[in-house]
Amino acid sequence: MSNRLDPNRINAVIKDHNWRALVAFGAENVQYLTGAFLPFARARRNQPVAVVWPANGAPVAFVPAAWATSFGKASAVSVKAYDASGNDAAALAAAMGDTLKGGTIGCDLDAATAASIKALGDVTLAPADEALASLRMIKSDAEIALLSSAALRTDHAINGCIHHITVDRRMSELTFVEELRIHSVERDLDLIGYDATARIASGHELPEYWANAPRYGYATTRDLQLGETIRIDVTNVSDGYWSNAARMMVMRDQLSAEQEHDYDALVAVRELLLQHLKPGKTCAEVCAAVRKAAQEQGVPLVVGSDLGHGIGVSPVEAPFLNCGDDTPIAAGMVLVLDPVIETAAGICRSKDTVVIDDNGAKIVNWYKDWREPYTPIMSI
Amino acid sequence: MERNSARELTSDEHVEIVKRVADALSSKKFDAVLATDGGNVTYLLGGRTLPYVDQRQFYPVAVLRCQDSGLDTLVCPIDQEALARRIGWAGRIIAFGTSETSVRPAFVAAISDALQAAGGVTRVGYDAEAISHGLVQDLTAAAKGVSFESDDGLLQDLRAVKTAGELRMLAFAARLADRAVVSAFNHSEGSARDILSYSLWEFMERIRVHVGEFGGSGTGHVSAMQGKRAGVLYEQPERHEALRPGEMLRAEWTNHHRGYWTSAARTISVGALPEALAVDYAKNQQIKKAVADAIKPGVTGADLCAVAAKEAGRIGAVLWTEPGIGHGVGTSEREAPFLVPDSDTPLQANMVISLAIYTRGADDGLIVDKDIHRVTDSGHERLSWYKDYRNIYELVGTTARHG
Repeated sequence: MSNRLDPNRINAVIKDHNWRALVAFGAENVQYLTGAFLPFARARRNQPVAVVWPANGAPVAFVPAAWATSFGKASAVSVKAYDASGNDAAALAAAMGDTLKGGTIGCDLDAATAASIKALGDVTLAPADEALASLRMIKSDAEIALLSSAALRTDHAINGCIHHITVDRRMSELTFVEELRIHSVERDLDLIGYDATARIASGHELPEYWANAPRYGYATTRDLQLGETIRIDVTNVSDGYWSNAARMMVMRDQLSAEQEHDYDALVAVRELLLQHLKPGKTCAEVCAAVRKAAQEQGVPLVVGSDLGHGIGVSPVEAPFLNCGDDTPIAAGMVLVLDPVIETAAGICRSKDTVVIDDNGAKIVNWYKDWREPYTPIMSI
Repeated sequence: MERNSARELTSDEHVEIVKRVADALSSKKFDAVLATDGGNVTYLLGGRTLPYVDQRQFYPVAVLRCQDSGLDTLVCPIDQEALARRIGWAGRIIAFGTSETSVRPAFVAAISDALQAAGGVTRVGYDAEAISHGLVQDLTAAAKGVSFESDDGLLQDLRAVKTAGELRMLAFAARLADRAVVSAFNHSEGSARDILSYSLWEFMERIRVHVGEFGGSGTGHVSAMQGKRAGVLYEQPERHEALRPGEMLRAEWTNHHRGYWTSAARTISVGALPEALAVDYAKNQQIKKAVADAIKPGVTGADLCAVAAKEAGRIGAVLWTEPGIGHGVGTSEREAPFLVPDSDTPLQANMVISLAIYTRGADDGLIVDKDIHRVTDSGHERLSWYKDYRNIYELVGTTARHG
C-alpha cells in the first residue's frame, strides 16, 4: 500500500457506515485510493475507472485494458482490466461482476456518471462523496510533505522566473509564461495534466479572471509595459499532488501609491485568514469573521468568491472557505488561501498554501516574503 | 485545401451548430438538453469553450439548450460570467456565487432557476456517459415537474458528424499538433546525440509551448516514452531522463484549438535508425494504410478492426488490440465513433477520426503513428497532412559550437 494512504482510515469509514464495500468512480477518488495518477483519466469519462474497496478483502481497481499495465505500475492495489467496447460503462460493470452484490455499497454518486450507475443494475448504493471528501481533507504526513514541497517549489519557480525580468528589456506575456513553466520543470514539477497551467494577466486583461480567452493555456504576445500590475497564476503537479499558486508583481522597481494600497489590502486579508484559521472553527465561521473584518478595514473582497479551498490529488478540493461550508478546520488539512480583491487595476490575488496544525495555519510556500509584491530591476 | 486561415468559427457557423441541436431536440421531443462536461458544454455553446470544464468539477458549469433558443441558459460561477460574454455567448447567464453557500446547492439552485425561467420545460435530456449521477438526482428533487432522462445518444450522434466550420477547426488542431512536435524535434535534435543530451521533460514542454506559439488554445495529455517505458500506454519519465540514442521514442499528446481537439502520437528513432525498428515501423505503416484505405461511409469500427487484424496477420505484425484502432475527435479528445471490435455503428461522411493503430516492436515497444482522417462521401481525407511520416523520423544531429 502506498505510504501516502493509511488503509485503516478507509476501513474505519466503511465499518462506521456499515457498508459491504466502498466503490469509487471519480478519477481523483480512484487516484487517492490507489496512488495511480493517469493525467488523462479526468478527460475521458467515456472510459470509466473504478475501485472497489471491500469491508473484508483487498481492494481492486477496474480499468480499461489499454490502461491496465500503466495503471498497475503506479497502483498500490491490484488491477483488473475490461476490454474496449462501444459501451464501456457496461463493460466495466461486467468486469466488476458480483463484487457489489449484497448489502449496501458506499459510492461517490456525484463523481460517477449516470451511465456507470445504471450499468450496475440492481445494487444498493449509498452516497459516499462526503465520506471520501472527509478522508481526503486530512492529509497523511507523506501527503503534507509532498504538497508542501510542491507548493514551495512552485513559489521558487515563480521567483526564478521573475528574477530574469529587467524592466527596460522587452518581454512578451507569452515569453513570461513559458519562463514560468520552464522554471517549474527545472524544479522537478511535472506540469502534466490538463489544468497544469502557467498564466499571467496584465494591462487590459488584469480585470479578467480568465485572461486571453479562449486560449486559456497560453498568453498574448503583448509586451509587458512599464509600471503595470501583473498577476501570475501557476498550477503544477508533482507525483500526482498539486500546487496552486498566484502572485503579484509590478513592472517597475517601486510601487505607485495605488499599487501600495491595493497590495496592503491583500496583505491585510491574508493576516485575517491566518488569525482566524484555528482548529475547531468551521470554514463558515472563518469566512464570516474574515469577511466582516475585511469590510471594516475597507478591503475590496470580491463578493461571491471563496476565500480558499483544500488541495491534494486535485488542485481545488474540499474543504471550501465559504460561508456555506460547515467543515471544522482540523490539523492535517492543507489549504490554499485565495482571497480575491478587485481594485481599479483589476483582479488581484496572492495564494498562500498553509498546513493546519494544532496551533493554526502555517504558510509553506514562501520562497520569498510576500508581504510585498515582486519589483524587478529597471536596467542592467 | 485549408491553409491555416479562418481560424475562428464565424457567427453563422456558431448558429449552424446551435440549430442542429434545436432540430434534434424537436425530433426527439425533448424540451431541452443539459450538459455539464467539457465536450458537450463546448458543443452546446455553439462551438465556444470555457476553461478546464472537466477539471474544475468543484466550480461547475452547465448549459441548457432549449427548443426555443431564446431560453438557452449558461449556468456558471461568477468568475466566468464576464468570460461567457467575451467568448460570444449571447444567451442567458445565471451566475452563482460561492461565498455564502456551498457550491453544489448553489449550482443545483441555479439550474432549477434556469428551468423555471425557461417555462414549459418538462423533459430534459442529458448525455448519461458524461453527467454526474448525483447531480441528476439532485436536479430531479429540486426541479419539480421536470423529467431528466438519458438522451439516448442525441448529443453523441450530433457531435459525431461535423459541420464545415468544425472540420476547419479540427484540421487546424491536427496540423498544429504536428507543427508542435516538429518544433520539439528541431529543438532537441541538436543535442540528442551530445553528452548532455536533451531532457524528456523539456521535449514534452516544447510540444506544449509550440501548440500555443502556433496559435492553439491548449494541450491536454502530453507524454513521451522511450526504451522500456515505450512498452506501455503511459508512464512518466524518470525525473531527469534524457533522450537516449539508439532507442525508440513515442510521443503522445492531445491539443485543442478553440475547444476542438486532436489526439496525436508519433514514434521516432533517437539517433540512427536500428534496422529492427525500421522493419517494425514499416509494418505499422502498412497496417495503417490498409485501414485508412478502407475508410468510407457505411463501414463500421468492427469492419476496420477486422482489416487491421487481417493485414497484421498477413505481414506478421503484432497488433496491440486493447485500445481498439481509433476513435472520433471533436469537442473532446476521445468521442464517438469508437473503432473497436464490437462497434456496429456505420461511419458517415464528415465524421472525424484519430486513427491509432498500435503494434509491438521487436523489443516490445509500442509503435503508433496517429493521423486524423475525415470520412468523405466515398473514402477519407487526411487532415493531419503537415508532414509525411511514412518513413520513421530519425532524430539525428549535433549542435554547432560556432567557435
